[in-house]
Amino acid sequence: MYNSLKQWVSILSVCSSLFLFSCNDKEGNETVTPSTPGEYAVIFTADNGNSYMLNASSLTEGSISAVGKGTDVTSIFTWEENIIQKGRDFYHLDPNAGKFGKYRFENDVLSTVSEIVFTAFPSPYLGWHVWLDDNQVMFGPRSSNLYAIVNTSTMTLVKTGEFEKTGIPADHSRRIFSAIPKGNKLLIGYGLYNEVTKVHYDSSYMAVMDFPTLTNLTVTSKDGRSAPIGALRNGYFSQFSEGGNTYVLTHPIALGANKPAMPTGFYRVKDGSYEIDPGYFFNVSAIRNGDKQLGVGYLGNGKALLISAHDAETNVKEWNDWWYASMWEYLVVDVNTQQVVKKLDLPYVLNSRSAVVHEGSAYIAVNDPNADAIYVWEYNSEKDTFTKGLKIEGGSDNTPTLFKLN
Amino acid sequence: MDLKLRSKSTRFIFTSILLLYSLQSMAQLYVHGTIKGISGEGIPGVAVQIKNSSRGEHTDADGKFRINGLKSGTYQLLFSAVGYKNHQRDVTLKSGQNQEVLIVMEENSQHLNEVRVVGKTESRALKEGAYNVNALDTKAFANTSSDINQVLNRMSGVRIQESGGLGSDFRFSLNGLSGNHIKFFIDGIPMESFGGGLSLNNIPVNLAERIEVYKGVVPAYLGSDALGGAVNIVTKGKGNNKLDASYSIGSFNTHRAALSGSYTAPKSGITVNISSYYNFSDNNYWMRNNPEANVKLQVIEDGKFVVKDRLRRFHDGFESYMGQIEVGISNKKWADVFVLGLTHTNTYKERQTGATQDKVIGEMTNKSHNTVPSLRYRKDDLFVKGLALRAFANISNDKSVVTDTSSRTWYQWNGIPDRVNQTSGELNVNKSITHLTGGNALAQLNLNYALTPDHMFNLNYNYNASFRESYNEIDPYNHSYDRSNRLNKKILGFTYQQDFFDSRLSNSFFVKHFGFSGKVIGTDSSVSKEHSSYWGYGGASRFKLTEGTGIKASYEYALRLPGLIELYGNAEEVIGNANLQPENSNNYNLGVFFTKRVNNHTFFAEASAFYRNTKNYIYSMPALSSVGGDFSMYYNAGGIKINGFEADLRYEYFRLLSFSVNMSYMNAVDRERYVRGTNREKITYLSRIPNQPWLYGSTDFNIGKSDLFGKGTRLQFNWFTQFINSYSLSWSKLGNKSTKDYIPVQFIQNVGITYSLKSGRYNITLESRNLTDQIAYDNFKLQKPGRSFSLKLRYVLSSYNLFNY
Repeated sequence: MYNSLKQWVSILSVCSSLFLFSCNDKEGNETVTPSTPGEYAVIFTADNGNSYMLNASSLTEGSISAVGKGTDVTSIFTWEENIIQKGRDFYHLDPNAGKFGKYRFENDVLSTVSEIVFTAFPSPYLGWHVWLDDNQVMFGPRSSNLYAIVNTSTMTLVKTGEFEKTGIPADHSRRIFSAIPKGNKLLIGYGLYNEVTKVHYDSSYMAVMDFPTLTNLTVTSKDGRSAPIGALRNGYFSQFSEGGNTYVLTHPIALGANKPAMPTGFYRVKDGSYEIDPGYFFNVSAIRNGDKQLGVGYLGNGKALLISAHDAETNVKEWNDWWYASMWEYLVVDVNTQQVVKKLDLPYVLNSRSAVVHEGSAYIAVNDPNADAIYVWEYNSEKDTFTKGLKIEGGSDNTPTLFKLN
Repeated sequence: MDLKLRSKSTRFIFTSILLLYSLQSMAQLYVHGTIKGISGEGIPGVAVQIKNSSRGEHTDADGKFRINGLKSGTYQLLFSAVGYKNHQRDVTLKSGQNQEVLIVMEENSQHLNEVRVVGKTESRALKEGAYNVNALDTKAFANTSSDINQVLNRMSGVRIQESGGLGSDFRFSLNGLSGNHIKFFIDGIPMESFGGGLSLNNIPVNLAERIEVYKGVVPAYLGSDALGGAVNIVTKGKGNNKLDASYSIGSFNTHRAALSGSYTAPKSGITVNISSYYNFSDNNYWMRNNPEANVKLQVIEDGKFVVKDRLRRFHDGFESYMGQIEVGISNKKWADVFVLGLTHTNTYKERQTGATQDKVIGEMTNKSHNTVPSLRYRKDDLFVKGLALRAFANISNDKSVVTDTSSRTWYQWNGIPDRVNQTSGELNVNKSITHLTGGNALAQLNLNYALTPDHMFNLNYNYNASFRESYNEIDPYNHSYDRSNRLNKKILGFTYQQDFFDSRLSNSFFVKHFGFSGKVIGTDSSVSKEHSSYWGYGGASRFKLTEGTGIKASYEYALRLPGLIELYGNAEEVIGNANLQPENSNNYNLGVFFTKRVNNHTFFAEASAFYRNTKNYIYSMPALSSVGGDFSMYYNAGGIKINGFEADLRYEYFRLLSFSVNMSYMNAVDRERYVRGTNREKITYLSRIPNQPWLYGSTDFNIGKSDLFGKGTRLQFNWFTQFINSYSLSWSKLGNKSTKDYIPVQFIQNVGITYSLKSGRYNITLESRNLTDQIAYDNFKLQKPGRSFSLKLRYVLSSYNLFNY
């Protein structure tokens, strides 16, 4: 009995010291140093599941963390692909609230400028956007024939509607994946969906119309070499122009359209033409052993940065692996030589977002699960240098998105 | 709500009246009498007990008592009361003759200590036991319109985070651990074995007699796996002839009725217990715009967002009823107690919001019902003297239907929806009518052996088998909705309790063994099985410095096995995670208590400190999903560390007033250093867990006067204030301070006034909750009801009076 008494006396002493600890509030009140307005912004998901928007004055050095800094944007940017950015202004279509908002990111804080009612899209998940001028943005939902135009300075809805239905057979619908302004014309890249058989055809289509009146829609091409033509979602890099020619990347990848038999590649629309160049197709998958790719950024001189899903058949065991399996590699490809110019010197990493490209350098957020943090890397295609820069602390397996604010 | 639902309430009232009538009309043999002091005044609150039985009553305001349902024979009556010497009297009842006794009790001022023990309530005795228990007699709340949750909310260390009004979802938090980490029992039987129908958010308080809250360390005789503690609801003592019936009407078209009764046939000894409740509410309280908490109540008018001051909820109706009947015999050769029971519950619930009030739902509903037959058996002195056996078994059969077929993506708070979208539901991307069938079988065996009064052994064995399956009525051939799974838990607990030095030192040691096996049939008909077993252990000790003062400490290495929904999902918003491991925790408690009585003044004080170190913590996170929509999934995380402190003070002046205050503080921090599977330090390492109150308390003031408006009447006033300090909605150290959202400090005032007649037989209570109409939140952007009023009528047939607290 005395033993048990002794035992409890020792537990009591342990407990009393715990009690003393309990009075010590570890939260503390950290003083927040006022931050200088940075040139860049980073949106990332912290390991607690919340998303934060942080300032970064440089992408090539230093480190940033959400401790005492930034804005929790979890309930503002509820759907990250629905973000449209222009300088310090961010626009977001909230899919669950019928709300199109304008927000301004300044001094580390994202504040609401204006929010307007937006209920034009039954499925409000954006697939593409195009700026008509400095104050007007046009956007449309994924896999749809609808569009809307918003004046962002007055925050008014200018127009909503559906593109002319020319070229859509009965019982079919048009699914637009890309919208490309070309002079006083607008090109759209799309696919056809059979509403009866519920099948999305293995073809890419292109049409052209007057811009910005959106009239006189003419179908110019049907091409079966790859599909769908355009970006996986809004905010993903998929097209660029070089020397008057326009190049558009496809996304047959299972994460997107899931067309296993089709390769990822670039279509070309020649200068002065509005149709898919039948004499050109850069089949990237063919030179990467069948792997499929997504776009990251345009480096200039015909060179683009892609991420390539290495051996997805083995690496993807469940759907989320498309985002969280370390299987992605960065490739620099040349649309002129139709070659992979370089594979960036990284281990297999997690999925990537689009790059910030600035003065010949592409900045990418690299999420290597074996690294001590997520880092921004800089690839300069002219000098062919690849260097590790800004450290983003506390990130999760979601790869951050980078923005250039000026 | 439709008329069909209302007809159910009519049925309930009709049954109640029938039952009342039949109970009243039965013949009884009884002993009655008056207990007076030397000066001739009646003494209220005297415990009158039949020796060697559990039968007894308390005297009313005039010192009168009556014990019904007795057979002819000789009984020894024991009389005990605080401040009086015990008294004993033999009474002989002859067939057809009731007996009256007159007792004069002598005051006992010299031996007050001794008397105090006699006058101690069971909850007081529990609080002075070795375990860290907070026990509460519900008598003081029986006249209020509260449910069990609201009473629990008054306890230190307990927070109930409700998401709305009557019947709303809630998160029970005990010393910082919450939700599934806490287990609930009714009379020692795990509540989960009764299926989904019984829930703390709709059991009216007058069905319970006492609520016991075990913090951190759960005795092995409550046979279940609990990580952070357990709540045991002790229902009204059964066996005596009694009836407690109540009805209340209140704001938001709220109607609540409760009935419990017990009758023993004098000749056959057959006892019938019934217990029933009915709840109905529109819950159409005002939603309010609240810039202080960054809550914007905006709706679309003429194509623009317009901010509204307040709008009524429009799709939050709730109806539930429960009926339980038990028939049993007692004092037979082969059984001291043998009872067969049947419980039926039925719930209908409209859904108004998603995870926050930003997501407004206008058409989704959930209907469920379940039926639970049960068996209870007790035999004392089995084979040898001092060996007692208790056994319990039940089978629950749950059916629920979740309907999400609105064709609307979202609603606004003014009740106007988004335009029609042919294929979509409100929470689910596609329309669904999900049928869930669940079953649970429980067998519990409890052996108690008293070697000597100071050395007791207890063995508890629980076998729990549950299964669950579902399908979508709209899309029955799409097997991606199907889930079929099974889970078996076997829990064996052994306790040894020892008392020394006249019970001044009391120790209790226990071990628990958990066996766990599961089987799931996937959508592709593949079968996966799992089997594992674990050990848990702990102990508790108390040393009394004086009769009313003591110190106590307890420890447990606690384990909790993952549940069916956590492992396999619920076909609604939870996706299963078959790889979950059991969670474990090292729980420590240290406490002191103090009781002092000086004449009519009584002081109670209690304080305790606690520490919890939880690993493999099972928690819910939003899950990424291929189809979009709001889904969550359970994961094992490194865990949390919690330390904290709580204190209770109480003062009573005999029969006139009481005042109590309690305060709880806790600091729950993330103890996991690295992001799983990486060497990255977590940004939240050692930060306080958000969206959880960490400093809160309450005060409770009662004043009452008896015989103010004639003999046997009493007027009682209660004023209860809750305080919750402001707390952060997200990790407080993350993000620029100016952008952070906090739930502001809350002071919620509740008052009630009760007028009782005939020594507590008839009671009328007028109550107001949230009197000052504060905009109250327990959870992020889930507003609770504002000011509400209710009127409750309660009838108590036995002399279960209100003067005892």
